[in-house]
Amino acid sequence: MNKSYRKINFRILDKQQHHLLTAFLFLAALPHFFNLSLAISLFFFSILLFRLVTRLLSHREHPRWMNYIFLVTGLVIVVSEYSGVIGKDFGVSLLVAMLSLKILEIKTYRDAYVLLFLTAFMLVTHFLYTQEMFIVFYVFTLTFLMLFLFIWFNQLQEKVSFYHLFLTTGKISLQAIPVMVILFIFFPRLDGPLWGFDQQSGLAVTGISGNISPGSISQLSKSSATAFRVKFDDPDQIPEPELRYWRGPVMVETDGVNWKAEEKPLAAEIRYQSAGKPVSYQITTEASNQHWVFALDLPATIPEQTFITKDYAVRAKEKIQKRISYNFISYPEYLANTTTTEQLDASLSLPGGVTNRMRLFVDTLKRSNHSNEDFVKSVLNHFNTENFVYTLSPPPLTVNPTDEFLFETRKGFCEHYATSFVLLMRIGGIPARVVAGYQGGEWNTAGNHLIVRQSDAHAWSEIWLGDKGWVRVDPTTAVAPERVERSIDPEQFLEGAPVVFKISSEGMFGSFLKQAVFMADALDLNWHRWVVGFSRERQNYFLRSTGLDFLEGYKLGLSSIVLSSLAIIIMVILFRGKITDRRDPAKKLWDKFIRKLNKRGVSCKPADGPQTIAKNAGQMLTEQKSSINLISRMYIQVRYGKRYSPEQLRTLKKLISEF
Amino acid sequence: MNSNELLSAIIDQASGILLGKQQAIRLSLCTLLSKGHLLIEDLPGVGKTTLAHLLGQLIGLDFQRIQFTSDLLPADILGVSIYERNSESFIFHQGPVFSQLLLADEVNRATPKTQSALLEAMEEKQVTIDGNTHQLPKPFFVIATQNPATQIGTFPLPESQLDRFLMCIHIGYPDMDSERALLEGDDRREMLTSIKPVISPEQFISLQKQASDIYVSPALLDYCQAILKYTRQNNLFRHGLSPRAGLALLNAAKSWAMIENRSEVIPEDLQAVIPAVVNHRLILQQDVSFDDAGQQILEHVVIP
Repeated sequence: MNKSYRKINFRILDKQQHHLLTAFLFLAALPHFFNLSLAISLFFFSILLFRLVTRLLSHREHPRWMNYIFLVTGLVIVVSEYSGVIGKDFGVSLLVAMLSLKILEIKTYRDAYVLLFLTAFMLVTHFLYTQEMFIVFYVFTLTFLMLFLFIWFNQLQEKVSFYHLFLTTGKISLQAIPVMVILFIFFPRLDGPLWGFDQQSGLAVTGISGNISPGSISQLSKSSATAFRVKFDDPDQIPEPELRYWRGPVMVETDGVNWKAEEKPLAAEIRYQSAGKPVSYQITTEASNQHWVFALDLPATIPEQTFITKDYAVRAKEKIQKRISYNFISYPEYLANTTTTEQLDASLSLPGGVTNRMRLFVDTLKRSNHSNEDFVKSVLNHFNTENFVYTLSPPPLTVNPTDEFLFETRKGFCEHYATSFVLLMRIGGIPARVVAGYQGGEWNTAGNHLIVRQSDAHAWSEIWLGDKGWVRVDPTTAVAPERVERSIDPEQFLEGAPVVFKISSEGMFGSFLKQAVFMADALDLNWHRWVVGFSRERQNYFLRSTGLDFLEGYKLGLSSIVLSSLAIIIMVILFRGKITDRRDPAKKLWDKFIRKLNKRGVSCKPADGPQTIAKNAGQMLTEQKSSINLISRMYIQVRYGKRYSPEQLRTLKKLISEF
Repeated sequence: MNSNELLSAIIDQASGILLGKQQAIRLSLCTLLSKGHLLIEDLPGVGKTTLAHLLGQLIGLDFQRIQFTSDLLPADILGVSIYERNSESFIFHQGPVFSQLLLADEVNRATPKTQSALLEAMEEKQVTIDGNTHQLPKPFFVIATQNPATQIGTFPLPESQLDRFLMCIHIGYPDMDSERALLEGDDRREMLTSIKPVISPEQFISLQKQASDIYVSPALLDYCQAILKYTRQNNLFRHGLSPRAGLALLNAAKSWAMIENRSEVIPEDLQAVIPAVVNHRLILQQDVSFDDAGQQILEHVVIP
């Protein structure tokens, strides 16, 4: 029999199976071509092509020495592309290259098994690069295909029914779901990224940083990438668009060109007075490679993994290198009337670039407006009435950007208005600072959440007005009031042209498209909220809320093993149950009898019939020969006989239990 | 005598002449009870013809024998229409096939055309010549013999024709004691002629009827299906067993149960007939490690 199993393994794959396997491998490696270098992808493709051509053109295998050439080529490419022998990219590209070499050798079923096992491994490596929903779906599909091929290649008969193969694969996949769910919920989460792989990637993520200069935000605004998404807990408490200021770094220090937030700010307490109703919400940020978390102006309750600075900016304790969700409570209306003299002094310091033109301009306005409020209004009025343009592509400013912007170009984006406004305030003796962050956001009607994009990046100012405390003034609204009501459409900007705002009235098709985009976005957010973002914190929260919080550390790991084993056992019992139920009660009794015989040293083969067994047993156990014969006759009567009565079954049961 | 006593008597008498070959006798009788035809494949001189003769005598069947040769024509078997001047018409002269037991000796010596004439008669139990259909007598059995050793100038029966035979048995050499008794004893040919029939053909037909009424339980059908499935889902054989083979297996097992004096079929009955029923129907793959398909099945199919 062993021989025949070996024979099965060395059966030759037919053409159809061979081509399907190659196609499967191609699909399994496909997403890696976006991750790995072009040379590796080219290597993979050329091997695939070579194999296909040689298979199609001739029935003979290519000479074996060619494999060695391919092997050396592959190794050279991998090593030269990734000089370091350690790391994700090196490992994965080695795997891809080696797998492609394996294609050259596919001949028998055994080769197919090896290849499928290796592809199973490669499918997992996709998650080292991204855990987006689509890739998970893709990997799921390919896993199903892999299972399908596995089952197919293990069929003994030559003609297989694909429908039945499909059903079997489906059944096996469904049976895996309970174990998957249990492991997902209970498997202990590690705090660091898996294998520390994420740390090596130099993220080229754009976003608001603690450093702005004229042009930096307008650059950002051209990107429609999502910065973060906000899900409000109470749909009635969603703040109006003009109140949706997502507060980021607060910049006090400046050299006249660049504005800088404190590099390593310290944690501070929240001391402002809240007014109005609180808003509680969850922010799911994208990876930004920064510390800043953009809470709704002003945050009151912040999550554990973050702290708040004295300027009420929220910072994560760790750099945000993956999607994370945070829960916040904010007060959109507030009175921040506490501050320190150092803060006020810093907010009055003037950089070197203050020109006489600026001082003269401030003095003129100050003379006609005595109160600070009036002065502020007159500056804003100046922005409004004079020929200032709000544009994403302002003309380049060279030596003294603020001066040039205020008096010459008069074309700028929010950061130009905010910084120059703050500078004018400081010249006028009012403590002022620049706040960077995001403003607005697009409402996703499908997911009922707010999408805040990089194009919503914004800068505004805060000025100190004595009793009123720190007051938010957004000079951009003086130029382009629509900015705070609508989002910028990054698709529609022209060089130097005024900003085009997104308008909601679109054609039928446009709104359908928009709806689809919203749906995808909502799906993505929920995917993160419930699957990828099921972090240690969320796991803890889940365990607490279900009263399972006694499972900590190793206990959690143990419980995940125990529970999944239990799930497997239950499924085995359920599955076996179907078979045993179908089994004859007489057969059950007979099996019991055979077990009894086995204990007494009678060997019974499963292919032995009742008479043969009785004969063998009678020879070995001569004293019990008569009862053995009686039992076997009874069994034959009950199981194979024409007249069957429950009476007989009971007798058989009695006889066997007495035996 | 009841049916079992009759069958035992047949077997006993046959064993008295064909010494030490009870299994072959039982299988042959089993084939006849199942209304099947028998193929005996063995070397010359081991008693193929004797066995066929014996059965014919004991059941009181009208016995005919054809020695197959390469120049044998279908008409030599089936018969021929000859013009008779007296009646001025063609009169059909029945060939040797119009008998109750036909011994086709060395069937593989004849040409395929002749072979198929016989095989068609076996299947249809009637002969059509010149547009007239002639019913063959009842019961109608064919016992064909084949000599596997000399293959030169023979036409081995194709697989599809082999399927027409319910069983294919081997007789084999007798054991030492039987052979001694054979050498010491009287002339077997003479003994054969002195044998009296145990039952009449009519009685035998009723025995056939009884055999087909033997009870087959669902549990046994499960076993039968497991055997069929094993031959199909395994690439040990070139093709699995056909449904006709399944029916043959079951019918043979019923008759075997009757010979064993049982009113129901048990797995052992099926096991007893498996090698004889399946071995000539299954073709082994080139490189399997065994040569007896029936034994392979017996050892590997678990009784459900």
